[in-house]
Amino acid sequence: MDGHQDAETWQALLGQLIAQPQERARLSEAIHVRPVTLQRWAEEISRPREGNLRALISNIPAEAYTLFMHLLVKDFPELLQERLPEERFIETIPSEFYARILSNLALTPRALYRQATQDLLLQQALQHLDPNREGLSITLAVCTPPRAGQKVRSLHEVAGLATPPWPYHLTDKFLFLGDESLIGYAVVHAHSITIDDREGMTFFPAHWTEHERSAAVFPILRQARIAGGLIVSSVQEAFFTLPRMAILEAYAHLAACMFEAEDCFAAEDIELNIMPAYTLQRPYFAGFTRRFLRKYAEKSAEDGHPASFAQMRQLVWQDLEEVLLQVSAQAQVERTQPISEKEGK
Amino acid sequence: MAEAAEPSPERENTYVIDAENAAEMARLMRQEQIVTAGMGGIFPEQSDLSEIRHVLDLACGPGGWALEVAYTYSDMEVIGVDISERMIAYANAQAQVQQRPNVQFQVMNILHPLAFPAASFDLINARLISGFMRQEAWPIFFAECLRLLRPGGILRLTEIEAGMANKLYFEKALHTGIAAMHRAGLSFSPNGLHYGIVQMLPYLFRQTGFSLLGTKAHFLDFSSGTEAHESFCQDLELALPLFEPLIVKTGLATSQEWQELYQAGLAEMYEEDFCSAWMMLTAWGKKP
Repeated sequence: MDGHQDAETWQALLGQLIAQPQERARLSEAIHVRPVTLQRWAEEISRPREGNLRALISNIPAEAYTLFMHLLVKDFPELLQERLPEERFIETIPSEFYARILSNLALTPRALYRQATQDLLLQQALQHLDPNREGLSITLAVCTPPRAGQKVRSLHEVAGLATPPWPYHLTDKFLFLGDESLIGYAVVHAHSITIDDREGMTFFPAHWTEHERSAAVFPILRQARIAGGLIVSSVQEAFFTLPRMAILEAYAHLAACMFEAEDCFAAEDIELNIMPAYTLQRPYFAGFTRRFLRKYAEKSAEDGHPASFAQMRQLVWQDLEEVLLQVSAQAQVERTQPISEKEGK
Repeated sequence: MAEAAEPSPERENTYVIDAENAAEMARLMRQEQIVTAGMGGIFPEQSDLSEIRHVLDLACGPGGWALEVAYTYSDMEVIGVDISERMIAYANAQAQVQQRPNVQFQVMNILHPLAFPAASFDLINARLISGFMRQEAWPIFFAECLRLLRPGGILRLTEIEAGMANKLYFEKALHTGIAAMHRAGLSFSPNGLHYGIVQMLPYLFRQTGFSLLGTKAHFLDFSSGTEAHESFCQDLELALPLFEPLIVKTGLATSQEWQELYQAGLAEMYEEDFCSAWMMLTAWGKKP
């Protein structure tokens, strides 16, 4: 797939595909054209007729399909006006999966519920959207609950799964996200966003990670109140086609099931701040477990029975958010200081 | 009529956790991934798979291992069976969305004769089935595997020994779970101090007509600071509460005592010097 990413035209991509003799023979047989005709299309000596074009679209290998269509519509813009052959993935969430989520909602004790639901949902969405493990990551971010009298000032990532080149569990990469982030923008405006190409121009805030070439974010709403969002990244350009966006949106809707009413916030109660650069955040997470255990021990001793892990984690997230907002504010002050003041003159 | 007279798989379910529970499904999906990664792959001990085409996965749960085989070896035909209708429905849905035409899942109780002709499979796999296998069930199970394998076919079983840690409450919680399994008749240990299955596997292979080809130990370290630590923490945060009905039923602790114990144990898992591991053994043998 990495090689296909270099193709800038559908002809170049076709040329890469038919460089393999087996693939050239397969396509030739499937489309009912001679191998030399494929070669002439790839070399831009001739162009496929309409019938050939449709046969070609139907027989492009699944792993190259998205990029091929992305490049093809540049050359044949009229294709955008019609219904193209379905992408090679199942365009609906199986009813069995809805049944599992609802069964979980009905029967699983509250203490286990959120964890079980997020595990089910992320695993299902990842396997559905990237069955051939070409490189997709899905991360769940939730609103950091504000303390009394405050508004929601950030989101934080709580779970993430991925296929290679990323590690399967994204637990080491959790961060706070604010107004500077794509998910922050999506949450504030309560709609999904996609960026097809990291090299392309965009007005949306985006911080690209290693291997990431396209991205999409989806707010998670429950009764029109915001709980958080799904952050999805792909190693492929233009991965987020309309059918894939529709599926991911359905998963974001389903994710609403995992939240309680108190986890969700009205738009007017959300005022995201700018969080520090992600490299600056990392060192502050080193003490997360120590803080969590201290809070757990204190609260358990105070109450005379074991405290809830989820509540204790939430308290630590709130403490960390406070610290990082101060770091962010300090960084902004330093940025706006005149040079003479910075140099102590 | 004959089928109607069969005992319901649901009523005969001896699994210690409610297999129909969605939280258990989520946990098993996570656990399957942890175990496969920790063992080094789906067939880490099998050097030659050229003769393997038809694979059966017993007690497949939500189908993680079977789906992984189907993905990695598109020329293999894989069938997974499990007692839980919901697990099987879910596993089939997974096969559908992952577009794996070479895998299917069926509801069957592996404590009964299975609805496949003799000599149907080249390889049979089962992992962590001691959670519902009484001592007397093992020889019957081996005999059925012998029937289902073609001559020269492989049976590979992977089981676990757990219960070692450097933290008091965590280890106590694990030992309470082991004692409950013992009281439920799900252990070969004479005194319930350990699961007692890994040392039995080679013996069972030899006693039941298989030619034992080898054993391979796996050390799944989930101490603080290891890559697997976070996943194990999340696995056990779901698993230990799900053990509660068995613990209470076997009279080892009240509900409140068990909750206090496992909560203290789970908190210890997050300490910086927490050390623990699962010892697993894969044993495999050939049908003569």
